Amino acid sequence: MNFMWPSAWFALWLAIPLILFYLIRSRLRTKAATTLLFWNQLSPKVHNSPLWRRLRKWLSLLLQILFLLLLILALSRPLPWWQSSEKQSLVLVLDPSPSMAAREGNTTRWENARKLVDRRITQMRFFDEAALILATDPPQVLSGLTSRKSLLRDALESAELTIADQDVRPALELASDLAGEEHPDQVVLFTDGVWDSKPDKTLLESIRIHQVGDAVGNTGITIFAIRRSLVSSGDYHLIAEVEHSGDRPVSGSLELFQDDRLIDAIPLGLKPGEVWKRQWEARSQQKSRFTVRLEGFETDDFLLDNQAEVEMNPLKTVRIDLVSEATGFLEAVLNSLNQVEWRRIDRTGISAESTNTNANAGLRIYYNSAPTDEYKDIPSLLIHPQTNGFWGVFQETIDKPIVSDWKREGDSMRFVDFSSIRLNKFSLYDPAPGNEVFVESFGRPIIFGRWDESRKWMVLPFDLTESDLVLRTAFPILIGNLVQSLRQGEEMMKADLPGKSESKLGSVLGTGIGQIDIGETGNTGPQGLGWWTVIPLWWWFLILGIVWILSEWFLFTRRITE
Amino acid sequence: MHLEFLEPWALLGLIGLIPIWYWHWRSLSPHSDRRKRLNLKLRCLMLILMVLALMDPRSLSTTPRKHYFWIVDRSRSVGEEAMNSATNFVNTVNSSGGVDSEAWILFAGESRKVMDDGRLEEVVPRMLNDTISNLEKTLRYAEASFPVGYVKSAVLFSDGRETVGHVLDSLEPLLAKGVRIHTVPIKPPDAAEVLVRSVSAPNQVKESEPFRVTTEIISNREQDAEIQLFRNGFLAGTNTVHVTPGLNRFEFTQKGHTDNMTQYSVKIIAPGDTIIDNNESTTFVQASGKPKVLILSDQPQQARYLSLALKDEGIDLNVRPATGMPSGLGELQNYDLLIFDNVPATDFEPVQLDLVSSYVKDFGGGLLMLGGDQAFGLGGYYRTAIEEILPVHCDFEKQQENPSLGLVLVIDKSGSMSGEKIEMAKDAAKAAVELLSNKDYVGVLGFDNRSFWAAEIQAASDKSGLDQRISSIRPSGGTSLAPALELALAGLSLSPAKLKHCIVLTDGRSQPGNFYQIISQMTAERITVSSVAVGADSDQQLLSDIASWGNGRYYYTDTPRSIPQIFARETMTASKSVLEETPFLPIVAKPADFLSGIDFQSAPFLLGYVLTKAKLTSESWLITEKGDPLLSSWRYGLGQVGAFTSDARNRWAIEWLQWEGFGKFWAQVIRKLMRADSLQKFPSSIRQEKNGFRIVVDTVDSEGRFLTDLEGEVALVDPSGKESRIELKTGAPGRLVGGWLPSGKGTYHAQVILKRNGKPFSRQYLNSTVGFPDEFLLKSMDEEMLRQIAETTGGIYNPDPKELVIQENREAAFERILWPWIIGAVLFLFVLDVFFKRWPEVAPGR
Repeated sequence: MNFMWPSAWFALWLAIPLILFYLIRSRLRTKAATTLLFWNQLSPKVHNSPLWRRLRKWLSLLLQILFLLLLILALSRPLPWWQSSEKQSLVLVLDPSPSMAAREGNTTRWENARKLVDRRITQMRFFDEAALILATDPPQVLSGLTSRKSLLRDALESAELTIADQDVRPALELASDLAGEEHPDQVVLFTDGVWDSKPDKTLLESIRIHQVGDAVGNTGITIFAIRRSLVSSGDYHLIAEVEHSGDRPVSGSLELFQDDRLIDAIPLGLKPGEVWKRQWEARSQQKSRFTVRLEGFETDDFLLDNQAEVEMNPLKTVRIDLVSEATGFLEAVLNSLNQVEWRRIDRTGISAESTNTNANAGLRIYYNSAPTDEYKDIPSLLIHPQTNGFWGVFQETIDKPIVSDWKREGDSMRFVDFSSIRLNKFSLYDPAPGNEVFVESFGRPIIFGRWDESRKWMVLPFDLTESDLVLRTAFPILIGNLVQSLRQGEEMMKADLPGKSESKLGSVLGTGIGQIDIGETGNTGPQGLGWWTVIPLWWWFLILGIVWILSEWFLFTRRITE
Repeated sequence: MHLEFLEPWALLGLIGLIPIWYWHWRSLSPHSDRRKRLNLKLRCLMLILMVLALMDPRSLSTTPRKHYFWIVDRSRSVGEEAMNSATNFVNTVNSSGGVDSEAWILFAGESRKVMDDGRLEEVVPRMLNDTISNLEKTLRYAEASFPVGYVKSAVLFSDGRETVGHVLDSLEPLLAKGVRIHTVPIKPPDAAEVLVRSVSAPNQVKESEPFRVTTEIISNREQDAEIQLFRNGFLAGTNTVHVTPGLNRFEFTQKGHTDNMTQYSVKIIAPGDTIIDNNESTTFVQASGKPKVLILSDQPQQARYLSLALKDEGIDLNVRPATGMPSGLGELQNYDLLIFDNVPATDFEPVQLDLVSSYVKDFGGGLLMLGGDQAFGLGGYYRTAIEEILPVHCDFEKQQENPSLGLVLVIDKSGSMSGEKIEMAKDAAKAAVELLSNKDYVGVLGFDNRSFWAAEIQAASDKSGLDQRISSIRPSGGTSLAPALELALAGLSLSPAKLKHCIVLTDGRSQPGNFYQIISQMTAERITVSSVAVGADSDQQLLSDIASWGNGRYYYTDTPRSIPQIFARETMTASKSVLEETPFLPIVAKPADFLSGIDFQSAPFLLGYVLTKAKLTSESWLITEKGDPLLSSWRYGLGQVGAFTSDARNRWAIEWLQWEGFGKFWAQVIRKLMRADSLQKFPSSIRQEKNGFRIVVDTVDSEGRFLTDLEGEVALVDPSGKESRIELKTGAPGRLVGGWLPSGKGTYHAQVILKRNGKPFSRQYLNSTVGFPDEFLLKSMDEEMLRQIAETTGGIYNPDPKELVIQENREAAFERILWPWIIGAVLFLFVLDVFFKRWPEVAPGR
């Protein structure tokens, strides 16, 4: 047995006054009586009394010493032989990923894990400490290292499940740092092992894992997302994916709602491991809320993936500033486009209105004019700029060029056909670094620029009146593509769902409840000795002390002891 | 202060007061009533206190005791500045009164707590991954590490620059837990520094199209520097430039190269530059042009026949010796087909052979092996990554009429061979045994100071028994080769084998011996001797002489992993049974589209081929008159692999060179095997984000429609050559996304593979390069960040160390355990109780 406070044994000196008290003889009181007959009859019996009566005084003393020892033992904070006296600094990591909400009988994996954590806290000795970390990304420190069980329990109470799949690795790294290189096994992870990204094998093997949850099947929605069409404004595509990871076929239905109105109901019959996908296409420029729900599937132990909701943003109105004099054909093209607001700005009006227009213009079209460098971050179409700028340096004028090749792919050039375009002449530029050539005439750039995520400008270095481009479908298609590309980035939304890995409820660790029996922590009794071994010894000594108080009092009042 | 009871249910113990009172009432004690009542009170008080102790009471009060963490940035960007500043700061604090409790936290990419400042030097920055600054992780670590019962404060010594994480996200939890962070700004050291911040070029250019490679250079001094441009590892241009403090931009003009994928690197050299890790950056340019084929030949001039013939067919053949093997996947990706023309496996590193395998399997490249006396098994390809992807086996069953071989392997087992060398040597010996037929003979000699037979010369039929005996060789001792050779000579002399060969392997220098005489005796007995020198410490001259005297072959390798290939090659060569050098006519085994239009009836004789055996699922299109494979192929992973067991030069194909179908035949074979470009490509991109790489593929067809029935994955090869597969997940209609964490600096090659119903639908190659860490970017101190950290948590920016502790007037919750004090009181009462029971009462009336 180890003693955490052996100094308590100095109190043993109190035995000295106790012994002295029992060496004091009692002085008998003198009482007058009328006859000695009673005492003469009693005296032989007294002298022939049993041994224990004669030793009563010393037995009493022994009892007092026993109580003294009980108190000293309690004060010295003993540890049972199977427990180490080394302080343990545990780092408890709790996995709050959505799969922990899966039902296990009358409870959930989450509740089971919390009970295990609570039990672990109960087993802490007074000099142990623990920290509690929630395995989110980034990790949440619910409680730093502390020996106060109440703080840890309060922290455990505050832990909540998450909706989205979590990466447990940052939490395990933080926990390993806290535990230190020398004691990696003082990290204890409470999880069902359902992860998208499995931590490093060496890390997993060095820590302790309490796995909750049996392998169960599940039918759930794994993807529900919406995206507007890249080519046709107003069109949108909606996809849903349902996966069944059970071991028996199931059947049910999927219902789709738009703004709480049922728009589709599909009966589903799924085999084990089957993934069902469906796409819907429709047209709307308005904002809408879509909800999809699974109904009628039996024995579904995981409910978080049975419903999903996604909101479609309204079709964005693109504002266009046309920096030019009145130009009929350009204005006609702009009028033909959906969800476009345009206005014409006289060339001289740019600087006066620039602060307003900068904030609002989605696209600026310069015709026979050009922007200065300060406007190069605004998406721009430069038609016949007639000057040098951030786009390139003018070289010479080329007469009657023939379009030999053009780019057919990409957001800006899709469906644009330059095969029969005629140009009288164009300005040959040396494009600035980073520019791409969209249309060329035997290696000479006719249309060039940069139209990607970071910068958007395109240069048509020729006068529209010197070509038949405006009479061809290529021109409105090109303008339409540029406008449509400005709507990208906000045109897709995805529902918050646990995700494929979480919905499958399949552990990457293998199956089995409680991979590690909590008895292995070293702070409890040997396996199989039961709950009473987790109660500290000093507490038992105090209980024995209370029993002594009552028993000794009884013996004293009945004059069995002195 | 207030009290808290952890086990309030223990209050039930007060029930014990009832029997105490009852027994007092029935007491037989001789004491006076007054004494009896006193004893009762003491007993009741003792019980009450014991029950109170059982309830485990805690007193909760506040304390002004303070705990400070000194959090010091040890990342490369601040060097030793933060540590020096922190040490001075703490010394000042301590001389002004000190703090109640303190500890240090040193951090960069990792964090480490140090309790004793005498042990600070034990934690060197490299241990903390000093090429990263992770402030967020450190503050979370500090948050979890504060001891209970103290006012929590920390002083952060840093430049405020984080390269990973979002420190601002960690501040609210700190504030909620009452942690106050004071920040001391640390200026990065002002050493002269110049770095290459970026290199950019168009992603795609046309062949021969001029384009610009632009580089951004950052410097903190005005000085002259030299900028070098490398193309595929070779110097392509140099400029002497003048850099000014700040950002400088320079350009090189280049032309679209004949290579499909060209790597451009810019390197800067400047005097007095402190950190060299940030002096280079890389980008890739893809040039579209004609398909390219690379042939690696043991005699490049012999490949001219093929080269000329293919040129007429519009195929460019790039001819190189084995040493011209591309060093990286990026360069290999330039070629649509790789041809091995009689180059042995021993001319390559094992990692290069793995690279070729990955190039075919994951990136869809093509491979063709031509026959020769150093091809297939004779080239040592047995049990290599190449043999795995070839459509034929490199070992085979011996013909009955071939002579038997007696082979002795003399293996150095001295102490210097321990580790990988001896294991590779044993593997090599086992591989050699596997290649022998039942009628061959084999013996294995191990030698150090002494020689012994690990396996005496015996028929090679009991392969598993031989393997066991080979496995028992353990390294120890010195090196004495001569006695081993004598033993080998003695053994082989008595062997009934028709052909006799000895292979010697050692990594050291032998004790002197009569080597020339022994070898001469061996050659007199028609025993040939080959030698393998492993490592620079081996006696290469002696081993070369031994091979020369013994009419064998000499090999040198410093890669133990190539020993098995050498042994395999030697065994095949020595058995002389894999070459069939008799004229034959090729026979069309099965019709093939890619061979249509070739008149094999008019094809002349081929004068020899290498005996191989076709693998089960491969296709043999042409066979020899004896039915052995001549032209075989199969699909392996995403690529195609072919084997032509004769050659295309003036040894066995001397008559074919004049055949009019020669060029057409090879052009059609090569077109069949080369990388197919017919699969559709989709817009794809790789981006580096703080959480790693993110790859996005938009599965949009040419008409802009979303394709939602495709599955995708990425075959990834990291800078170390390690392969992995990343699944692409649906992010939205027509969008697949995936990601991975970078494992280090260098180029990551990704082959995006899309499938529809399990069949390949699209394939696209992407790459991204991780340059030097952001830690080396020469950024100035982020004062704003440091201020925000301090303000958000209630701390002070750049505090005065003398005033720091004095200004702290918060108090922290403090818990005291009370039960030991209560038990102490019980002890006192107990002694009183005994006293009042035992002390004699004064008799009345006396």
